[in-house]
Amino acid sequence: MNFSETAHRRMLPFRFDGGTSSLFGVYHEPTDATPAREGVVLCPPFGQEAVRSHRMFRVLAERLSRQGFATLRFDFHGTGDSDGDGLEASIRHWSRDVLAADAELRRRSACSKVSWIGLRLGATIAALASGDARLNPDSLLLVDPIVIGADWLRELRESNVTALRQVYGLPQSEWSSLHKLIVEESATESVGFPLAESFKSEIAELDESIFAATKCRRLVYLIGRDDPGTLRLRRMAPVANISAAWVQVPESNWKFDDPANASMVPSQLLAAVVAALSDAPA
Amino acid sequence: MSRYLREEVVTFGDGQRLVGIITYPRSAPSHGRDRRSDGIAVLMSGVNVIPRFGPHRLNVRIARRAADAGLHAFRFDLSGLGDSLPSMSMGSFEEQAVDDVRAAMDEIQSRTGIERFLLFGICASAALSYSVALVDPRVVGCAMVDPYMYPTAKTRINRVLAHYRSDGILSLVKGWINGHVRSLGRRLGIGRPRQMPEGRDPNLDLGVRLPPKRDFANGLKRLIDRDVQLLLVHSGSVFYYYNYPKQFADGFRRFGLVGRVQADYMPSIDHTVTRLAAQELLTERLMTWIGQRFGTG
Repeated sequence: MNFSETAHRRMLPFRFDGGTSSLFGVYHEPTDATPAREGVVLCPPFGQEAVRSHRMFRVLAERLSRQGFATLRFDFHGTGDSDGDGLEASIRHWSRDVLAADAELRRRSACSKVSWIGLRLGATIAALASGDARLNPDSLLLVDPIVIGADWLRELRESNVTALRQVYGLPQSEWSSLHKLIVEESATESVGFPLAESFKSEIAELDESIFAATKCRRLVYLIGRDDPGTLRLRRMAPVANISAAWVQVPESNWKFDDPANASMVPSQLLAAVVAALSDAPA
Repeated sequence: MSRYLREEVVTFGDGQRLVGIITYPRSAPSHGRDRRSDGIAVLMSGVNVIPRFGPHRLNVRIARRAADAGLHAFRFDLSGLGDSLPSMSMGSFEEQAVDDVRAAMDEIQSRTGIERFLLFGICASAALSYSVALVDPRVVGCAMVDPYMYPTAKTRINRVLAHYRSDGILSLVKGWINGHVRSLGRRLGIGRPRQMPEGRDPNLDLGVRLPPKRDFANGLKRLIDRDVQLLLVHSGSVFYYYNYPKQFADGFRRFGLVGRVQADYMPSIDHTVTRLAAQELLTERLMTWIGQRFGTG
């Protein structure tokens, strides 16, 4: 067996049953620990943020694997390499996808203790899903969660115009004719990904109450920049029986669409996430 | 039957390092091998650091549309990118990438019997498609978005006129004077030597090493002589390099390529095909071209 075969045995791409459709996932086996020390499900963000963070999720999973964790990253229905179209995006559906990923990881790894890590919308969905989980996640690590849906919808609209201005790179005279059209399109798409009316309605309903209903043993917020949403979270009364911690991490910009640099691996954030998980008291 | 097309995750290549997804047409058998040596398969790799699903999931859209038209499609990650593992080979990235695409063709051929391939790529992966087509006779078609581009005199005039419309005559005069002052300074040895911004390699264009125009023309002629079908699409994002519909004809007329290469100018799409309307426009154009050239769909 050569190096590559060994490495691939630790990083297995596959499809699994997401209930009504098939989801794409990559299972990272723990390097040394047998059985796995603990399982970790990684919940990706939405749209261009998912493209930009794909590499970071791979590196994070590899690091966790070396620390003895069995890790599963996956694509929500209608995203990445999973079944479905972007127009079928649904926060409720994706919340069920987190539960399906959790069940798949427990089945593959035989871990009874599983934590979830979510980034941006993936963090919000993880918090939402925890309320419906038959087996609650042990730790829930939420990186820059989307808290106020209405604010985020506005950001999605603005980032669509900004990103397209950048990627077209046209002189003003050529850009003017496109600009109006792109502003109109920003109501139904953001940086290349559709925003169906039903999905936007779900987003608009997001607020801090989702986080108040979280179910887990330990909740860690990793925040790069405080916005009105995270400030609301900080002011919120502690959730009963959950120990909560706040970790300040370097601010990362997940939104923009620079073709030459469409992915980022912020090392300090990675280190903070791994430390927050590894240092979790039993 | 599922309303979704059947897609299969495969690992392939040396040591099963590479990762890809096959999208099967509904006509393909659900079990066992599909021996369709008369068919063609559409192959797409990730581009730069964007994984195999493509910018804004464009490769998924194309793969599923191709499967709807009865074609197999395969999207995959090059060595070290997306979910593929790095190669142990000592060759350059470009050499390895060519080997990876050929390994993808081997994989589809061994699974389906298909021996003819159409490569689709954007920017760096368009350049890769061209490189693979030159060395592998199984490639029968190349559809390339923003491949190598060679501005003509008219391209430069259009560029200047656009700046004039944007910024007015004063800005143009200022730019012209500044250019001449810098040029005079260099000649007198008192100015800084001309440098690419941010230390860029002047031989690189949009991150892709640009071959001499004659070499590219000769390469295209070799492919045409082998009956490889060629579609070149130029987006609105490359305005500084390609900015009018007949630019390819103007630039390559002396090489006898006019009418032998389908060169489209689609200013409403951007370099990474971001807008949904642009994704649909490009996919539709590609599928129409495939239908016309290969009689599918």
